[in-house]
Amino acid sequence: MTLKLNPASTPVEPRAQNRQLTFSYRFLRRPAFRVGATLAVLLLVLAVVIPPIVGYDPYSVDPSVRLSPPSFTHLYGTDDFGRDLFSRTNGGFQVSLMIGASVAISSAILGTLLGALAGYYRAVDAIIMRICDGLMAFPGILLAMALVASLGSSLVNVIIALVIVLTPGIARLIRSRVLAIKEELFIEAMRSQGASSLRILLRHILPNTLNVLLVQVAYIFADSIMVEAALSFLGAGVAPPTPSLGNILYDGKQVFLTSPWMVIFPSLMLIVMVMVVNFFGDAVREALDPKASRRRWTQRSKSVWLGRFSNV
Amino acid sequence: MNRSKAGPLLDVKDLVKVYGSRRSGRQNGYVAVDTVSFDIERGRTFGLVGESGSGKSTIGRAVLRLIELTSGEVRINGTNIGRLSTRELRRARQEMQMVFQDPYSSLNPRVRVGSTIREAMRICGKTRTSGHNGELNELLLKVGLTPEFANRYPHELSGGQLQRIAIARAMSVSPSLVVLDEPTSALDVSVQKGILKLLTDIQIEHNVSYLFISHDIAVVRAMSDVIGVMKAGKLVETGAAEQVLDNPQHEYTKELLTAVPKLPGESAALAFSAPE
Ligand SMILES: Nc1ncnc2c1ncn2[C@@H]1O[C@H](COP(=O)(O)OP(=O)(O)O)[C@@H](O)[C@H]1O
Ligand SMILES: [Mg+2]
Repeated sequence: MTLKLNPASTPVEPRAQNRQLTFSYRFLRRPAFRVGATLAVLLLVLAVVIPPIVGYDPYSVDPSVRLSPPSFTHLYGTDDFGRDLFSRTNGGFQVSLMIGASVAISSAILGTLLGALAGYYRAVDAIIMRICDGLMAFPGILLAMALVASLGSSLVNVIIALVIVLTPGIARLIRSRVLAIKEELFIEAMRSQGASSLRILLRHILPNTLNVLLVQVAYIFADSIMVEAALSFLGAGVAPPTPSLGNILYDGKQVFLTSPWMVIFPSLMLIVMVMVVNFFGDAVREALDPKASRRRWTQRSKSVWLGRFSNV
Repeated sequence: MNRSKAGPLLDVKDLVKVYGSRRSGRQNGYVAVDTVSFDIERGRTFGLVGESGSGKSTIGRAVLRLIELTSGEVRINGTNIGRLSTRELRRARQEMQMVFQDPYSSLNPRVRVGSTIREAMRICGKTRTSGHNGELNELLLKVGLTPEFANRYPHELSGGQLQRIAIARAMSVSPSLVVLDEPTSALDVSVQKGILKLLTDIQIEHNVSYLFISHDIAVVRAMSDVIGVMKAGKLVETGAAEQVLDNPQHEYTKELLTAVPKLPGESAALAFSAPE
């Protein structure tokens, strides 16, 4: 009884119809991604490409033009030291971008590592999670302020403080994903194949946490920009003369009634930046879960305008 | 492992599994499997039949030591797998493979099915390099697919195709025992037939033993040499397939048999002769 099976009985289905199912296909087609990408390009042109052409130094002080209003020579006006506000705002943008990227990448790596260990190895779970709980018990901004105060206010220390504040959230998220995926049938199938724990964790569990990690990283990016601004605004962040959106606002608040441009331009920059990052986060999130996308989109957009500190 | 050893390939003795109890205390746990013993000869199929929740999957998992036994022994080729260290157990797993009921969730959704099979071969040390496409293609053809399927993701395949992939993965490491846990229960009847036929062919060619689990006595009848009937964690009747089916001793077996509709058309559709 030898039965020859005909391969034609299980034909290869056309592939095109399945393209909608891939994550990147959906991501690139989200309206949120397109709006975010457009704004991001505009911002980069404004704050990175144009400044060298205009050619002002954000550090050069000119007391003769203190607090002059926007004009053709000083597009955004000047600050209380007579520095060009356009260059300082753009400098602040670059600092924010640097902080956002460093914090997002570092806390993603650290949080994934801790979350994976906690989720996969029961022995370390209790220890890691108690530390995370402890860190998360403090309001984020207060903890960040305390850390910067004890470390000293420099760019690197602000980044370190933000990573310490934001990593526990990522670790929690990854841990819960790992716990869920660990119970999936394909993991049991891998075990039944004789795969080692390390292989299962690295090759089968972690790649499946990547999507949610991506969403969280986008929001952490936005959060760290906001928190840095808040810290600097309170005088506990990036120390002058290094420009940061927060410390420009800090200087601007005293002269707000007479020279509102010192507050208006950096604030606009901050809002647009945070919006862009949130748009990207939304696009990832929607691409992950197409069904729930519409409702979440409006919710998130609202929260952008209200300014969000939910993770902090 | 030495394949030429005498005695049955799989020998299960007094297997007990209690869920949710503190270490081997049987008092407050749920007894899913209660003192079950059976064995499987090389190249033969043991059909485990019983209603849902009777403990069939638990036995399947225990046989591969995917769960720890509460008590009892499982020997494969004479080796007590309960005694193996983690490392030894991982090596021993090449001898015993499993095919699950839900083929979609038994495959990593982010990995191409070809890579899944290749990984299985790599884990058992069959290939050091990933360049063994010849072997992969041969496997895919053997399970009734074409080599093009290797580049697909699980969501791009139908249930029957996925189950063929799962079978290819199990067979890729040349096991001597495959636990088939309701391999066709999630599939349409027409697809079911093809899978059962494939399993029978593979058994004839490779002399592999099956622990075939199903709640469907018609399917078990088509596949098995020996049948065990499960009820509430106990193996109530064991015997040669014809004997159990034609001359059931236990009340519960009789009940199961009368529950199967014996329409002429239907019995013909499922009449797969067991391998001679
Ligand atoms: N991990 C578990 N924890 C607790 N109870 C379980 C677990 N797995 C199965 N059970 C219980 O054990 C019994 C037997 O389950 P199972 O072996 O899956 O039966 P079957 O495969 O015959 O349907 C069921 O009552 C089920 O609820
Ligand atoms: Mg079951």
